[in-house]
Amino acid sequence: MGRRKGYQKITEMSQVDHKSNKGGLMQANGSGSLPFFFKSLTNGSSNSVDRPSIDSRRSSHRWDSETSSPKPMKFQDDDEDWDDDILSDLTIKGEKFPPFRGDDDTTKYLNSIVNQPDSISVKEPTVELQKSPLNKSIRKNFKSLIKDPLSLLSDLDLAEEKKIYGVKFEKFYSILQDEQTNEEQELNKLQNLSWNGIPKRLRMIIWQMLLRYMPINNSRRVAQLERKRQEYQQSLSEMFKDSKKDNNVWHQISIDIPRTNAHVKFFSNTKIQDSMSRILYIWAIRHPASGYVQGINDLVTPFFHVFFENYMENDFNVQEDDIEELSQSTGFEDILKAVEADTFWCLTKLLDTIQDNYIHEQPGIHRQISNLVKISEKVDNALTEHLEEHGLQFIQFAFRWMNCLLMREFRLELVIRMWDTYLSEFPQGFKDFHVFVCCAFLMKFSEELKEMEFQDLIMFLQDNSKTSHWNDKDIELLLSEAFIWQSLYKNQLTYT
Amino acid sequence: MARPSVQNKRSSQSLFTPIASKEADLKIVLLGESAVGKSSLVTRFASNAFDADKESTIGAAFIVKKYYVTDPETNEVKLINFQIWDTAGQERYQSLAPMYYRNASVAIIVFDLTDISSLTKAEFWIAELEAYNREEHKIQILLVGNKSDLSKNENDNQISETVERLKVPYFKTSAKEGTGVDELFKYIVDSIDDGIFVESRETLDLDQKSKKSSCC
Ligand SMILES: Nc1nc2c(ncn2[C@@H]2O[C@H](COP(=O)(O)OP(=O)(O)O)[C@@H](O)[C@H]2O)c(=O)[nH]1
Ligand SMILES: [Mg+2]
Repeated sequence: MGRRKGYQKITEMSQVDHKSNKGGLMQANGSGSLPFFFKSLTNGSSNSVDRPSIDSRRSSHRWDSETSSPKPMKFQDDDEDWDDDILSDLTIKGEKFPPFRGDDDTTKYLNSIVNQPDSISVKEPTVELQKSPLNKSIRKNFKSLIKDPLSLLSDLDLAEEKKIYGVKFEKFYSILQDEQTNEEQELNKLQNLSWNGIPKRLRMIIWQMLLRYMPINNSRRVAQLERKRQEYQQSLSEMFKDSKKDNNVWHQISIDIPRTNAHVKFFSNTKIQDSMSRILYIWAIRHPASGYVQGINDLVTPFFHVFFENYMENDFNVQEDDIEELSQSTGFEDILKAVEADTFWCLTKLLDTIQDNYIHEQPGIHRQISNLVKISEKVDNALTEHLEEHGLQFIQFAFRWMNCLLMREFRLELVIRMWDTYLSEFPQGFKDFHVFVCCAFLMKFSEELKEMEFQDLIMFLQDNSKTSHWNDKDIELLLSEAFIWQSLYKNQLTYT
Repeated sequence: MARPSVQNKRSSQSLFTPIASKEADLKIVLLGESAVGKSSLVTRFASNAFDADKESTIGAAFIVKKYYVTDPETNEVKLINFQIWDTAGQERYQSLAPMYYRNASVAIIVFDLTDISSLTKAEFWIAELEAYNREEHKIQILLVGNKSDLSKNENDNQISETVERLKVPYFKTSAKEGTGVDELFKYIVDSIDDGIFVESRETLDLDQKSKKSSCC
């Protein structure tokens, strides 16, 4: 499975190369013709193209004028770690290219996992010949999942997951099962793996780890989560007591929440809406320099979707299932509480990296847009000249791309896949890498756009139905193209 | 593409696909507090529809609408190409607004009849545009009170006071039910200066076609 995927990517990529006629595209990195998994290969090499440069990190928090917000970007890692030549275990395992081809070493590696006495026994697939009725209820072990999300590892149908995700699942699994000695190293491995997508069952855990919210370390995890959730509950009761609510903020949030993904039943449920409103409100009050800005409401939904899903049986579908009845059942409140607090903290972590997108005059967005212009000029000058000739300014279509992180351009499922990669590039994924993704997205339509005049250009660019047929593969191709542009033009970005 | 169709029942425009002899581009901008119904008004005008679940506008949205009018005396058909920038209302986006109103001929300032604080925001925009107009620009300013379907005329006194003071044409609409929207855009069409009309591309296209193939 993984193997087929890998090869498919290569063909797709070579087509793109051919079309855009960028002869020396790959040579710039000296990595030969390694498109899609390029990333995991160059990772940790001296090139370290995919690591935030010192400059980008330094510039990312110039606007942190609030005192109430936790100091962002202060991870436990030492800065030096970032550029260290750490070849992750995974790449050492003889995995050259493509990563999931299951060569001898990998097979050995796999067997070693499966055959470990401690590891989960693999179910015989023959047992499940008849289809069982759909199970859309809350997981029975939801209480232990709330307490320690990693307790889910003992409850996984490993064979089933392997069927879907191939070797990739094993790799995630083994990292999570590890006796974590070096947290940064573990995180590094998770980042490398996550770039190519995270299995659904593990997504909540991995996202929270990549955001440095959930400690990887076993000994700290449970206590830390408990503390964070308590802290959130506390600010809730403080902010909502004796109606000292900031009414302007609350008013705007209460207008926007009913029209946030309103066509999805899940997001139109009042309990979910109330919960999202509280998250936004607390965040806004704790970050007075930006306050609540339209578009931040969109950013809550991927977290909410992924975290809630974690507590539901496999057949439950956030996009389709009605939760009216479910929301009356036992356990729902407990789950919602945990999801709400976790979402709040994760949203905070994310926004810490792009806070100047939302402060007065939104300098972060203007900088991202001017970077997008610069890079697009490099990649396809004919296109940027065409846009200019017809009087179309980037800000007229790219403002929304930046303000909502492209969320308005893709279906939520695709955004979630995209965030696997963005989060693996955390903390600069939503900031710098995003600009390259926007560039790749624009280039997708380059030939069509060159045939259009102002009116059609703007109509086409703001119309999100152009991606309605997209699937995960299209997103992955987009991300890999963005990665190439990033490795070529990263030094062109300006940070002021 | 956006020509009046048969579904467009309320429209008083011709149901045929007319061939216009003259046409003009008309740039319009909508300004006003968030959630007063700017986007809904545009949707009502452009596609005669209302979507209560529609997401909030980010930055600004561009909408076009071809609008045909027939001169009752000469029977001449004129085409107006509406090019509408529907802006986002939140404070944070305010600095983007000049980019969108700079080239506009008409500014529709919208407030919510049931939310009197949104009228204050409307006054702010009118003041800003009038200041801009003093520098040799001429944006026609219209004031619209939307959501008339919800309004119980509770704020009428204050509204009429303000309207009198501001001396701008004022309209009441409901984007939801469609009332007042036609009147608003008819007013705009009627006040278009004849001088901006040029010979229509549609006629030109037709001429070319008939030259190319004389049969059928
Ligand atoms: N009852 C009623 N609701 C309206 C009307 N126009 C808009 N709305 C609602 O008001 C909210 C904001 O509308 P929207 O067009 O997005 O406002 P905008 O932010 O000014 O563009 C939405 O929930 C609409 O459904 C109206 O005429 N009547
Ligand atoms: Mg709007």
